[in-house]
Amino acid sequence: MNTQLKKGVLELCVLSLLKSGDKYGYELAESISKEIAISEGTIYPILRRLRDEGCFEVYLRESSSGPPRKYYKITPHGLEIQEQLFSEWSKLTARVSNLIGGN
Amino acid sequence: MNKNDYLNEFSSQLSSLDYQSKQDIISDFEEHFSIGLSSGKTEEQICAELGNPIENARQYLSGEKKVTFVHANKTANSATTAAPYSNTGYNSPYNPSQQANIPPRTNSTYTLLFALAIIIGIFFSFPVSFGFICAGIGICVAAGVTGAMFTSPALIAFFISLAVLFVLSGIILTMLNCWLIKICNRKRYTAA
Repeated sequence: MNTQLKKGVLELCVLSLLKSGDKYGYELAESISKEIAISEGTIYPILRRLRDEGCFEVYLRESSSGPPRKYYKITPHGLEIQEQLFSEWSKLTARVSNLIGGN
Repeated sequence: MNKNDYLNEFSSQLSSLDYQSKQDIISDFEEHFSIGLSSGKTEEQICAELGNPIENARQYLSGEKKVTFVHANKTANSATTAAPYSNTGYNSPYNPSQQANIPPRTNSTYTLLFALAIIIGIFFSFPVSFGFICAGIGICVAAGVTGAMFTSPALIAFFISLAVLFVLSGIILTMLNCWLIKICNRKRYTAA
C-alpha cells in the first residue's frame, strides 16, 4: 500500500481507537495489526508525531506486571483531527467504490 | 534477531536526534518488548512483528521533519482559512516535495555550547596554550644557553622534559577546544 495513504489510515485508526478510552502503545499496535497487515513498529512513530501535534496527552500508569506503561489520552484537538480524517476517509472510500464499480 | 540486536540496529539510525528524543523513542520499543515478553512471546517473535528496525527508525527521522512542515504550514496558513488538514485529502499534510522548503532546524542547546566553546577558546584555552608553548620553548632556549654551565646531564634532561610537558599540554588544550567547537557546530544543525 502507498505509504502516505497508509500513514493517514493508521492515524485515523489510532485516533479512533483512542476515542473509546485511553490505551498504551502495545495495545494499539496489537489491535491494529490484528486487522491490517502492518509492522507493529510503524505505530510508534505515528503516536509520537500525533503527540507532538497535540492530538493526545501521555501519562504513565503502573501495571500489575512489569514496569509502568505509557498511556495515550486523546485531546479535543485530537478529536477534531479524528473527525476530519474520518470524513475524508468516508468520502474517499465512497468515491473509490464508485470508480471501481462497486455498484 | 533478539531484543538487543534489534534495539542496537534501531538506535544506530537515530544518531542525528538529540539524546532526550532518542531515549524517549527507544523506551517505547523497550516497553513493547517488555509487555510482549510478559504476554508469553519470544524476543524473536516480537522482533518479527515489529518489522525492520532500520525502516522503523527512519520513520522517526522523516516524522520529525514532517512535524516541522505541519507547524510551518499552520503558521503560514494562520491568516487564511485553510487548515493544515484541508479536505483536499491525505496528500496535503504529507506531500514530500514540499518538505524541501523546511528551513534547517537549529538546536539551541548546541548553539549555546558552540558560542561558549568559542568564548572559552578566545579568553582562556588559546592564550593559556600559547603561554604553555612559549614557556616550553623558553625553557629549551634557557637550558640551551645555560647548558654549558650545567655539567649534570640529569639537570638538562629535567629541563627538556619540562619543556616537552609544557608544549604538549598547550597543544592538547588547543585540540580539545577545537574539537568541542567542531562537534557543537555540527550538532547545532541536526534536528532536535
